[in-house]
Amino acid sequence: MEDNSERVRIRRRGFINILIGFFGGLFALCSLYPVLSYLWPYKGASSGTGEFSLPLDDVPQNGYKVVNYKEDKVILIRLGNRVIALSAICPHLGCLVKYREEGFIQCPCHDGRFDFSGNVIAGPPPRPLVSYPVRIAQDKIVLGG
Amino acid sequence: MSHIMDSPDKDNREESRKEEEAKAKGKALVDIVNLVSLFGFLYGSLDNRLDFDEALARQLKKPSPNYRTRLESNLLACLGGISLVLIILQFATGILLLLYYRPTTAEAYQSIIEITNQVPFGWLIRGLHYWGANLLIGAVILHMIRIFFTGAYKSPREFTWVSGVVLFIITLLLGFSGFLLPWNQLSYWTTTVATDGMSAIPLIGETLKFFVRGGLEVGQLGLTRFFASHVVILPGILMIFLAIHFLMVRRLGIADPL
Repeated sequence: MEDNSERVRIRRRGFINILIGFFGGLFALCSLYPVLSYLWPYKGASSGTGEFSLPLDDVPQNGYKVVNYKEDKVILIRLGNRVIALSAICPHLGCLVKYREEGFIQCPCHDGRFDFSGNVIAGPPPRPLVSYPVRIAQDKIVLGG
Repeated sequence: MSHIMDSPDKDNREESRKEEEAKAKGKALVDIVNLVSLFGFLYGSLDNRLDFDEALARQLKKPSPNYRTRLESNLLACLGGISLVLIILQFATGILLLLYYRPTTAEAYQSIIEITNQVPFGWLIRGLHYWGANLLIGAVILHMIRIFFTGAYKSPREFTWVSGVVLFIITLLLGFSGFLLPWNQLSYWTTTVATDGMSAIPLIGETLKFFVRGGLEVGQLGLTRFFASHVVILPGILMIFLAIHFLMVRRLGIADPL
């Protein structure tokens, strides 16, 4: 009676061990898939042509608009019949820059100033603003391409 | 043969013979599996050299704590183990993140965006690291509270407690240094304000602030320092103290209830 129950307990323990092993192995295998696909060098995902367009009237004449483009924010400035596209994120501490009608671009946080090519003309920014290719095509502003 | 002639002794012999047979059958099966698997080959020779099975059995037979209540012996006694599991998770996901993260002021945020949005399952790895970090702080604090209120820090376990306090501080420092690495607005300003607080320390405050920031304000040098602390220096110290902590726990056993 005594050793009989003992044997049952050992059998049960063995069964539980097999279960733990099985499900542990299954979990490890399932975890392997995301880890391996993470490790595999991925293609630098540049989706599509990277073009983005918006109606010309969205940007007021002698005014500006900030749009989202490729993980960045882009400031579009319309001056007469040309459009300027620069990154709107100040390279100093990441505030959004503004267009000033006095003829420059200003960051409101620490008074960093840029000209319309994105070069720093005053203040703390360490780098110029990144500029983006932009063109006007049939009353549309086309960014990138 | 009638059963009247059978002695109990014979019965026992019969039984033991059957048992032997069953054992042999099981062993044969194990041997076959071992023969066709590399693991068996390695494990078999390892076991011959190192008595792996015996050591494992000894470790598994260690008594788990038996406290006054079910909650104490089942849940509260597991908090240290939960912390360890989370630390292992942090090490694993941290190493994976290290393969894509770029620790420069120009690239750090960009690389985090890339990990989250473009690397397959990058969102998962980063999410695990992020949540694991938060849960680890919680688990470690709860573990400390449990030890304190059950009086498990008392002699002869004072040193286990001390090493645990060091581990707690290192865990907090790991959280603090890891927080700057994404180099986003929140982490930048948090680090700026937190390091600014160091200047309140008498005498050495300003010097300490300058040293930790790697300059007058948090910049590339500061990011590099925080990165180095987060991925090499602090984890190294953490591992040393973890070894000490577990050694003490194993040597001294688990505290009895008050």
